[in-house]
Amino acid sequence: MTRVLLAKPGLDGHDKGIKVLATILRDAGCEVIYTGLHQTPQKIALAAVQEDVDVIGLSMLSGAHVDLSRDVIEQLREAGLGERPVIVGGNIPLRDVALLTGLGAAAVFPTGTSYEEIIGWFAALPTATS
Amino acid sequence: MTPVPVEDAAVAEGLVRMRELAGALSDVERGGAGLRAAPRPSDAILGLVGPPGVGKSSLISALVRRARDRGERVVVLAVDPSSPMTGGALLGDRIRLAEHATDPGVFVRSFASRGHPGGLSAAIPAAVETALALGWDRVFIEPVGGGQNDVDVVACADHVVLVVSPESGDDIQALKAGILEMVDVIAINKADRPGASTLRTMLRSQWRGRGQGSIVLVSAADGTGLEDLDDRTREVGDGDASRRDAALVSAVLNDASVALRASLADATLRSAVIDLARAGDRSAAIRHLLEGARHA
Ligand SMILES: Nc1nc2c(ncn2[C@@H]2O[C@H](COP(=O)(O)OP(=O)(O)OP(=O)(O)O)[C@@H](O)[C@H]2O)c(=O)[nH]1
Ligand SMILES: [Mg+2]
Repeated sequence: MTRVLLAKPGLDGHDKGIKVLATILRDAGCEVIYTGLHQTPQKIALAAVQEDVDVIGLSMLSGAHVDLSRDVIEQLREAGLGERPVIVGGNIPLRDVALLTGLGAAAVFPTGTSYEEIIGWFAALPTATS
Repeated sequence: MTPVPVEDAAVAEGLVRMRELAGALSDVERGGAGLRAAPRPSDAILGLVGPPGVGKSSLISALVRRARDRGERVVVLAVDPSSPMTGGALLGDRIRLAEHATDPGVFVRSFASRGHPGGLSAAIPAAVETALALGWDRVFIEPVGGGQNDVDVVACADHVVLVVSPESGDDIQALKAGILEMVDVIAINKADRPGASTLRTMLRSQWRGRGQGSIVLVSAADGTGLEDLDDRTREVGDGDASRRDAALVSAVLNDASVALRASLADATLRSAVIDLARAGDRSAAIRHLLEGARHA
């Protein structure tokens, strides 16, 4: 059983995309914890600790995705969850994808990525069948 | 070496405690026995049940604020339903507890029911004991928002509050034969909205709980009645063993039905039970099922 934390760091107030993703992951058999808008990297890390999730998913539309992803990954590491995969979605220009994976993101799903691709990524996790 | 600021030290210590509890709860959820708590005050565990959307999580957040003012370390265990088709779940109760997101003395864990009936997940009783055993002071439980059948929490908590709101009028009928008979307090939340006192009048005429004083008007939004509700949930338990026993029996029956269902995974047993039931002999089917489950 895969447990996923979905969070929106930063200031943009659009949560439609992340709510659709939450529903799709639920229908794919995940337990999805949604934390609401305007999460700071520290709040996301503390929620990940308490929920002991297998994956942390970030959605960002604001353009601040590089800084925010770096901060979340750093906070997770400090909280002792450095090995948990972080995936990043939203308005991500293609040129930033390599930058984000270089920072430690396990996968990047820019707007327009098919749901099949995202579900396929989750299905390949070791927790998907346990 | 530069000294660590006091605040960072508190956060670091809080983090250690959080990780300890988080790991222990994951063990419990994987079927581990968990830890047993030492004897504790009789108001340590509070359950808030009620129909969807009445404000259970918002009220918990407000009560957590008061507990924190007293210096208690608080754990919130919130259960939401798993889809019977896919096993997936949307766990959304954290959103309403956002004000405590950076407080090292507040730990919130979301559970999916994973097919367990009765409003809790199978892990909750052991999760509660484990949290108390690890030195957390108070546990709040929010069952699946069904209401009527959420009786497991009565077996688990020291106090149970039924939360309703002015829009719940129609739901009350459905609650009557179940949880309504088992709670200590009814909180009519959203008292900032019209209809709350009408609902109180209606409930007073229908509820033979523990006297009329135990129906309180509250509002998580504007703070009305929270002190009163907090006080009532911290009174020493009245030792109403019969109600707790009734809930325990109900919880055991729920568990039994899960176990019986699991034993039907045995194809031979399953087809024998179906044959007997199809032939019209229900009681023979039940006897056969119980016998088969005993040997499973
Ligand atoms: N006006 C008003 N709205 C409230 C009050 N308390 C909660 N709400 C709102 O009611 C909605 C549901 O609140 P929750 O706390 O999520 O309710 P819940 O019972 O936990 O809901 P589920 O877990 O989904 O069953 C939210 O939009 C809250 O902001 C209140 O006292 N007054
Ligand atoms: Mg809730």
